[in-house]
Amino acid sequence: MPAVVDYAKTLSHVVYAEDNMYSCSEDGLQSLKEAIKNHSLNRVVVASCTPRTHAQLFQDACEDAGVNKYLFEFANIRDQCSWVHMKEPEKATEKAKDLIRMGVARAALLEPQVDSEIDVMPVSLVIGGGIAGMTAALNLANQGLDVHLVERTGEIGGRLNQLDTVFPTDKKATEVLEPIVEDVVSHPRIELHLNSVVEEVSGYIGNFRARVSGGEIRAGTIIIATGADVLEPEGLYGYGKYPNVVTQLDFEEMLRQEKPLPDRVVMIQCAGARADGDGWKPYCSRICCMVAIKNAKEVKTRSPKSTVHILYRDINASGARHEWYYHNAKGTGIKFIHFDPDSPPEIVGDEKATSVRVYFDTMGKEYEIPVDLVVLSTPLTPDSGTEKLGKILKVPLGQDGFFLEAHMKLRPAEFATDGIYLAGSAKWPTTIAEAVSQGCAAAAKAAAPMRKGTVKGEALYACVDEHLCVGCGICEEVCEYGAPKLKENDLGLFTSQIWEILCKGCGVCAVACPSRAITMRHFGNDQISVQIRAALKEMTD
Amino acid sequence: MIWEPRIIAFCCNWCSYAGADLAGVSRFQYPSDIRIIRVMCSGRLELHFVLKALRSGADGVLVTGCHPGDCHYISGNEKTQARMGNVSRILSTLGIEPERVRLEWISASEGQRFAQVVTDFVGHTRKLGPNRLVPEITGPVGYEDGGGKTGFEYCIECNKCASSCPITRVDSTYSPSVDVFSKSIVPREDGTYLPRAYDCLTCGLCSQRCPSGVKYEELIKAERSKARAAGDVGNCAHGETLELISDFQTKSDLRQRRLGWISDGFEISSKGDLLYFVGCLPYFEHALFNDAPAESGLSKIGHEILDIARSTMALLNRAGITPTVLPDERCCGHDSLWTGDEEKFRKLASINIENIKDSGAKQVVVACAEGFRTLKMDYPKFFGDLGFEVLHTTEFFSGLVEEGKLVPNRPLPIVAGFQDPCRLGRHSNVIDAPRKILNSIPELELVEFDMAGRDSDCCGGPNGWINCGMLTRLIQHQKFREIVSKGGNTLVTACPKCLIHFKCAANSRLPSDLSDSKIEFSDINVLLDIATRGEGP
Repeated sequence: MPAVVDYAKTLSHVVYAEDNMYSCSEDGLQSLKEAIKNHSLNRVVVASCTPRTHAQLFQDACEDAGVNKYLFEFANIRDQCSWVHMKEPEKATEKAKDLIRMGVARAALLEPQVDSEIDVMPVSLVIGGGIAGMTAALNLANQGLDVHLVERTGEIGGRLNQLDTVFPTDKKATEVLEPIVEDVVSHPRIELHLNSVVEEVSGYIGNFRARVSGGEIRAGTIIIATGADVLEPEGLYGYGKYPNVVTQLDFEEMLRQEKPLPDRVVMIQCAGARADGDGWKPYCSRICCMVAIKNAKEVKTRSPKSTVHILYRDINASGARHEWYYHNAKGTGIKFIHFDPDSPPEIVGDEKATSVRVYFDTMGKEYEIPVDLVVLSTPLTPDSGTEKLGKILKVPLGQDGFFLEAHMKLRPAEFATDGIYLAGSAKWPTTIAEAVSQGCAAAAKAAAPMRKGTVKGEALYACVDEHLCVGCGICEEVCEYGAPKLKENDLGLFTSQIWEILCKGCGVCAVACPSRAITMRHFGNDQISVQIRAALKEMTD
Repeated sequence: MIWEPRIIAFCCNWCSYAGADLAGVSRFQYPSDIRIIRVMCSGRLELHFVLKALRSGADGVLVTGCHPGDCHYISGNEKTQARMGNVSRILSTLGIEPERVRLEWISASEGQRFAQVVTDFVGHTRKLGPNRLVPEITGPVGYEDGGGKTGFEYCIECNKCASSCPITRVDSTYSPSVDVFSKSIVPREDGTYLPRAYDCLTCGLCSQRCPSGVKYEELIKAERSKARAAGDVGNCAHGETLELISDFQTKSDLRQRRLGWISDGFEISSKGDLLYFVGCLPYFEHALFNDAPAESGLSKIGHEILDIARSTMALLNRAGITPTVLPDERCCGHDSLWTGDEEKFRKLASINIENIKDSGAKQVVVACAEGFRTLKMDYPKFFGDLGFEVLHTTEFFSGLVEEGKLVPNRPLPIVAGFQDPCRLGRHSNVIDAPRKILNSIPELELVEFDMAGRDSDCCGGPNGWINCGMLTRLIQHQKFREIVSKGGNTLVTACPKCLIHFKCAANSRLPSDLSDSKIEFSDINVLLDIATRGEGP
């Protein structure tokens, strides 16, 4: 470390360098602020961990000491150096010097930027009237914020309308749903838009304009809670061929209508899930194990003499209450049979399924289970409107086609696009409790800017030098967010202008601009090029 | 000392940079030869960042982004992928191993994969060995600046220069004479230069009009050289890519693969009396308008411009000539010379001269006005007698038409205006030859611009790719208005730069009075090729 500090002192522009055991501690930050004051510093480079977690801390300290936060630069010498070259300490030290040299070179070219401030309308647009959307709407409305709740069908309540009971309470779904629906319908701050779809959205956090079934809704924030579809496993395990092979959702309907139940039921888990194949989904849908256990229990409760088998690959019953629920279900006489995905169960029958043949690998032998009804636990899949809505709102989808949040761990309820939030099975298959939690989370996230009334926009946007613009319009074409727009100027020329509030700072337009009229704030060509040069050659006094 | 590869990696903030952090948190070890530069999105990756890294001595460049479908900015990574294809094609044409550059997708949760990718790429680069293609130029060397050359002290303040300048016409705050006065009257500190040195198009109309012999464009060259020495290289359009390509070409042992455009039907030789100097055409396809949508006219310009070379070859072969085409031809150096980089110009020119001499050529034909002027006028100025004659294709082909070796018997019913390129007409006095060609084509009606021949008005094409912008666009729009007002429907040029910039202007958003105009653009060699292909459609 002392060698690195000594080296840093030799670099151009560096007037002060110090070693600090914990730069991010209160003492470390104090020392940074004092150094800024004592040495009249106008740029700061911290060589430590990663900007992804710690930049803001140091930026705030810089601002406290009078240095604009955009004049701060990070050299990542821990996560990307000392921790990954532990067996080559000498080389790691040389690399740390290089990284600091690159950081200093870039810092010297950084420019102060001013974060923008935008007014935020205290109105939210919640898309989807299922449990997640209703929860979000109620949470916002109860804080005194106005909500437009847009629902594609003629009733709110979503999937819960189709369920018989819910786990792990085994209460009737209607018992859970009705009070919430009543609260939503009667809430003076919630305006319901039934049989309505979002057709077009423009604007940005604070001031979105959405065309909803012809009419216009203006909102400061948007919450996506559009839920998920259930896979219809056409052709799988005789689904569509045998009348007595149904999905769990079909089975819920039978339970709900209190139809006489068959005596012999076999449920097959992971039907169309967790494997590659035509129409299959590669992921675990998480909730199907609990759904199957719940419905199997319901069969045993209604007709204790019936036999119920659950054929499974793995049981996903994580969570204390869920694990107990699973445990107790075993006590009711439900038979759980493990199968290997390489030898999946087979349905036997002509007109209808008469038995299920399964190789029970724990026992090392094949069973043939007579059946009256086969119930397939199929995964939730992205709602059919997901892709279209993603395009309308300009938010990304993940590889499996669900909406993709801004950060898997740290920003689960929001998108990278400011002012748009996410809850429920639109993101990933969720239980009711999770959908409710996520609805609360999205509402809390959305409420913050609306309650405050303004938001700050990071100054990482593109800007155009009109003098250099030739009006080719490529920027308009490449931007996913509609931020650059060609406008006619006084000379009758069309030149590009960036709508800063829409710009996300990706830099695609700057790269595409043939005449280099567009530059990126904080990630300019010079600021990046100088790092390339600094990495490859010494830049010392 | 044992050689260690030096690798620059670009990581996107959301996925691969986070993946690199995770590799650290998980203590996955990888070789220390890599230096990471963080960008918000891999879509921020300029083609020239990659070329710059290699030019500055990097042995490998690793570009990483989010997996397809997972881009934080929806589709930035798709653009990176397309662009990296062009990087690799440019490197291949230059004869540089495209494997020195690699694109990988790494998510925030793939710390182990990050370590594996780096380990593999470092090993791979180690096998390739050191990057031996670092250009043989040291940096800016001052351009000789003497009164004898520029004559600025003879200025009589008549302002004829300003009244003829095409830039002054669209921007009254710019004036060549003001630059000359400030040069001659206002004392300047060392290291300073004319603030608008890069705005001049170096078309030379002002110098032609000057009654006192001030060589304004020489003054501009000298000023640009000073600007360059001060680190100001102007705003190079198309992301400096073309400039970087010519940087690599200064390396004398570079072995390019630039003849890919020559299709089977063409006859070429490696030695002979006549040499066709192709110029930068083979590089434009992958260097211009990289990110323009595929369906747009802009994205096709780079490809279409190669038609000039194909037509020139076709015409030569049709006339029974098998030209020499150099497999290792370099940039002619025109842009380096005119943007004040004399060292690079000298390096490129000396390699070209040596190669041309080796081929035994007695005549060199050039289809590009800039290349023609450079070989014909500037090479002898710096290197003395070359021992070969330099001709523009219009001079050469008009002779073949007169001799009956090329017969334009296919009618082309167009009304064409000919844009005399400044380097062809005014600088080199080749004025009649292109007109002879156009007049020989049946049913082609030639209309003349008000300012033509030696007085030709600039096309607004930026000089050395550095002054593209609103002003040059205004000049191009004036050209369009003039051709429309004269009843013309086709703008013909004899310079790829004129053509590229006319086409760019026509495919950009036009002012309302021009938005319905239908103007076609063509290179004169391409027109002649079509007209001599024989009768029938």
